[in-house]
Amino acid sequence: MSDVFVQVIRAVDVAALLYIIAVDTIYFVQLISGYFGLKAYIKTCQYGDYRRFYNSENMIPISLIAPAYNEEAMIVDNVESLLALEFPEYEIIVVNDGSTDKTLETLIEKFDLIEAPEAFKKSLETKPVKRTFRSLQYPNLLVVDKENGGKADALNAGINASSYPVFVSIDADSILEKDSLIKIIMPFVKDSSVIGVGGIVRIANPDDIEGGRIERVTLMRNPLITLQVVEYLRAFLTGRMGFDNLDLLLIISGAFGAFKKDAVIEVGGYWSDTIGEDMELVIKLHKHFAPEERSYKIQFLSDPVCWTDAPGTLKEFLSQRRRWHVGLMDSLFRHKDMVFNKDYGRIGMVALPYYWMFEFFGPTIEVSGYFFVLLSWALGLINFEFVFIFFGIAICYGTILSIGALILEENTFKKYPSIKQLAVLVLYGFIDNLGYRQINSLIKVWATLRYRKDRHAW
Amino acid sequence: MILIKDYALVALLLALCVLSAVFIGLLLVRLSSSWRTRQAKKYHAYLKNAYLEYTASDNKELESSHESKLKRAFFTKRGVKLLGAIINLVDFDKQEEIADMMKGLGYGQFLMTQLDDKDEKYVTLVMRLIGMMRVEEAQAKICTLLFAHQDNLDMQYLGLLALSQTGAEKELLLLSSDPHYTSHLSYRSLSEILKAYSGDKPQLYRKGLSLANPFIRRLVLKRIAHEMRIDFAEDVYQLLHQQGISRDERIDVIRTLGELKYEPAEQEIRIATCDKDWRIRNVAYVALWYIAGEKAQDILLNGLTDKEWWVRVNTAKMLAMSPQAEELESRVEQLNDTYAREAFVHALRKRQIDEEAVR
Repeated sequence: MSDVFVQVIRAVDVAALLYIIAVDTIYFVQLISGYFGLKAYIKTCQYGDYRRFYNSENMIPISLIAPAYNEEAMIVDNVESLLALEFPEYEIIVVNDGSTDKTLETLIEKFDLIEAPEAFKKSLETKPVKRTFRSLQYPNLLVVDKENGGKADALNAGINASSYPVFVSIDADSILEKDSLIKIIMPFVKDSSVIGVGGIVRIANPDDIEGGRIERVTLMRNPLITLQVVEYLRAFLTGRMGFDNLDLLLIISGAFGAFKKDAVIEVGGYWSDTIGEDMELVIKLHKHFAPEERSYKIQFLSDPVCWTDAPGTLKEFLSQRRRWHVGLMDSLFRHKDMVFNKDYGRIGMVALPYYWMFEFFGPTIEVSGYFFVLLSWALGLINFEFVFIFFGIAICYGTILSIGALILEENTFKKYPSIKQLAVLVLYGFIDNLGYRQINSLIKVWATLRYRKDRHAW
Repeated sequence: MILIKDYALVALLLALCVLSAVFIGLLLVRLSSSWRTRQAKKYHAYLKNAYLEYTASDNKELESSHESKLKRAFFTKRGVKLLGAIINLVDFDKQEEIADMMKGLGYGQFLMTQLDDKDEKYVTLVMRLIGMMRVEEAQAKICTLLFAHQDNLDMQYLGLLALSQTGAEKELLLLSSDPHYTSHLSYRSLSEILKAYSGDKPQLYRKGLSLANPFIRRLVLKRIAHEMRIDFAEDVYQLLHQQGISRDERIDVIRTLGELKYEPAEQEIRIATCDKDWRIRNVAYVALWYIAGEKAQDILLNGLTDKEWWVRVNTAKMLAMSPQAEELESRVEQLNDTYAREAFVHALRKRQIDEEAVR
């Protein structure tokens, strides 16, 4: 083997090691920042007086927008759970996005819907709305029936039909805790410069749901789902909270996010041509408001909880993660002009470069690193100590981060009450780094390679 | 191979050690938190028992055993935090009774000493409790703190709320007249602050209407409308004739006069329906409906043909509220305006559905 080849391979190995250290260090910074953010938030909760606003005319009325596409099986339960929420004044807008099953018929039958033409201003362009329905049983339920245009288009139609100044986007298959709505709305009540707030998404065990409510919190036996429970804790309590504390928040989950309607209309609503419409909207809001030097805030709150179900099979998991990565790439490509542009402040100078470097390129660099290190060892170009150090650092650092997220959870919300649950989560926090993380990275590499071909595939 | 086996063994041992250490660490966290929870529950029970006795007794007094337990539990920094957390759990109407009971123990004086703490978040909590207990002696200190922490939004809100709850008219007006403070807080927060005022509210509103800060004047106008304070109608009407009144304020004045159904303003409001600004026309048509009702039908029909969508829709909603709305349909047809007809039919249909839903 030529010396040059050997030198190149060794350089790649060292670069991969440095990259692993760099990315995990950034995650560690997020963990620390998340810790301080959570600590401050918990203190704020001690004096927060949201109950004062509960029956007050000064509470902001809200529109809950739930897009639905072929949700025939679950739609009734989901709408019932939304109708049971505790909030002084709200309307529920279910947008039937051209379902091909009996979603609409089921809604009409169950909720006594009658066709009721609504006069609303078409502030955002959407696929044509065919009909609107009102419920004779529930005056705050509106159903919009429109041609299929995707989730973003359905959300835009919901925004057009909404009557209130703040809307909450929610997945039709998600369950909110009873005080989640009031908690997510309070930042808008307190501070008029807030334009977006995201809540935390947690994974529910369907057996824990009774009458559209979470009655207890248990872990499922499916290891793939338990791994995702740990991953969600890490993503939200350290990732989102950490970035929020540093004013670098770029994502508000589409499953549970609240926005000021005027601000969203001002930026043209959700972008219909992507499957990552949630991240794209937040970046667009930053892009619009940051250079204008208007005071605006986009926040993440770790307390208002939205429970959702997670993919239980590898096939579903693969499809979901591919979609997420394609959505991320769409958003990054569309707003590439913001990167290292100081007009956008921290978002342009830190957050977006981070996403390009570690969320977009990261998985490819990481997977290549694994491959090259093992190849080099097999060819005898590096000794085993290097391999041990490489994987040891990757696994140890990853474990610290997963366990760190568990400690944050244990120190604050304690949603998993039994010692057994705690032990299971610690164990999964460890094995999370022995295959799961690597599979995730592989899926992202695969999604990157097939981006052009699969961009619009669901 | 031996080397690899050794490494694997070391790695396995390390992993086991780390796992055990983490688990033990988490158990310790849980143990300490469950000790704190147990103590909090104990103090909660003290408070609950004392509260039951307090509400049951005619002279609102506590036994000395209860008093000493409450003093031991809550007259510390940790106790204040705990009280803040417990207060969050009880019904809103019971909060005031608990606050009164604690105030009777001299808790207000204790809270005043806590205002000197360096932790801003803690001081904010103390302000909240001071407001609930209506500790008037703390007004000056709170005002000073608000001047010192101008960028702390939570403190600004809870501090102003405490001033309002303790009836601190002078301090409230002083802070409200400075747009710097009020611009940080949202309209809804400020409205809630005014709503909680425990002093002479009419006097506060009257002085608020004459403040230089237009944001506060508009806020007071909205509170007057919401509280249906007819006694202020004349004062509000005078604002309509004031020189240099801004568009937004004019809108609020017209809306308020409409909601108060102040008939002397009808003529001015009729004129306002012809204003070149659609936002003013929009509120003027609605206000006119409230003041003149059926009498103003002809003018409201003009509103249906307005070039601005919002004016048409809101006028249609008003006309659809008329008891003879169905009979109006033929008059709307005669307007020969497709948009006017659509807006009216939609509004009428919506009213019918709402009535059907109520039945």
